[in-house]
Amino acid sequence: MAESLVEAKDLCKTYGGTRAVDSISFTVPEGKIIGLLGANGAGKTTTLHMVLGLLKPTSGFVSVLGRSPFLDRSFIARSVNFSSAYGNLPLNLTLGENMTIFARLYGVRNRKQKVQELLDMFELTHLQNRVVGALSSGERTKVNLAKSLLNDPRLLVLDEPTASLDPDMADKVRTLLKKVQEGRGMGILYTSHNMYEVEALCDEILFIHKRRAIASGTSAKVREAFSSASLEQAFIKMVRDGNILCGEDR
Amino acid sequence: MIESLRRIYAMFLRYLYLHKRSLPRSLELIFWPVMELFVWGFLSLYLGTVVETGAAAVVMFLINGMIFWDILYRSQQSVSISVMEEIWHHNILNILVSPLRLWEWMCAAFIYGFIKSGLITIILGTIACVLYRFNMADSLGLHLVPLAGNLLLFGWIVGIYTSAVLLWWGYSGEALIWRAVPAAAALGDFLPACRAARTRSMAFALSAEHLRFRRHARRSRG
Repeated sequence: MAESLVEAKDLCKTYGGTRAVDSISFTVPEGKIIGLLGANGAGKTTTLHMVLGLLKPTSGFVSVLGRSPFLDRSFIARSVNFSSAYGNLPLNLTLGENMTIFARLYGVRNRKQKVQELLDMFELTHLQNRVVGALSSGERTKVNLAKSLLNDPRLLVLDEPTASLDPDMADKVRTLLKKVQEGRGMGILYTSHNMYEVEALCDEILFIHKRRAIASGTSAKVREAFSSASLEQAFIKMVRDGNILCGEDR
Repeated sequence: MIESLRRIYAMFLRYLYLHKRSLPRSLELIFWPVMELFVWGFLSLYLGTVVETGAAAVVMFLINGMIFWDILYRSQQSVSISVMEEIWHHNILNILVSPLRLWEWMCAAFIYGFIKSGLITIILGTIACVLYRFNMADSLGLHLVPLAGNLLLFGWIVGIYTSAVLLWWGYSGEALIWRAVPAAAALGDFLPACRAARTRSMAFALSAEHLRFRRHARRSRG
């Protein structure tokens, strides 16, 4: 059985009187892509931030690579990486400079070779002397993904990585991600609004609604749970009539 | 330890690249301090002609004050702006999830601030020497080193406080970083004037108070 890269049990996060995440449990096995699916404000990003050790859970337990992200941050940070559609590398530095800086931060060996390999993989080589601020949003997404693979992470955390991409670029990024994931056997924790993407990429899905997990499993299992022909239908059903599985929210 | 040094160097490199990429940012490094030196330098020369006695002391007081103020201000800015920069560029999460530790990040900012302040002091000292025949080393002697060192330290401490505010409040804390040094200096000077023990302990948290305390100790020793 594959080793669990992430184990989250009954994760809760409360800000003042507002509950952002309520009792969410999941695991990310090595070599699998786990998708967190939910509407805006469902609690997906907060959950990711707790896994990354950026936020402390109000209650519950999370371990990454068998260790606490709050006590063993240095160890975990070397084997984990992150990319988000809402983040950027410094916009006023060139792509090459940014990659060099992050390669140094992650202590990458054979830095130049690794950076070049990733730039080639994401077809960014011709842009390496351009400042990141002058790149299109699709190119910036690829830059973020290239940065996130610098340290050959065992766990990759992706927060809506294709949110700002056109369908063509999103498809290219998905294909590339799948190829990289299969080649390296890493685990990916993935959030998205794009149902097609989640269905195509993720081995298992965790549906989050109103800060609680209401269904989990393969996409077929989730579709079945909502008696829907597609994940998109299931999602719409969940958002419009989200109380079907959450007794307490009624 | 070597890994830490590598990460500190990486962040330091990040600040150097900024200057390489941005002419306005490099100009800003010397433009405002030089403008201030012109204003205060010529004002002190004028005051020197008006004041009947102690003209030299007026010139020394104002130009020294201006140069030391810049050391303090720049060292605080180098720490605060390094954090602000990551927030502006939406890069803060990339930094926080990387193996970089907070103290390593601050070290890189300190080194950057130290070099920046040193460079400005040399430029201003040279201009003051050429234009106003003012020599910092003559006016303060060896006291120059601990005084400048303490001001650097004070600037870094205020920088750490303002960075914490920025990380806590995000953009809305931005206004504080520009006026934090005058506020902290004022608190450091005026709080101990109040006799209440509570305000005195607050003042002791700021290193400006230690500057004042040492000055008094030296005076009382005669």
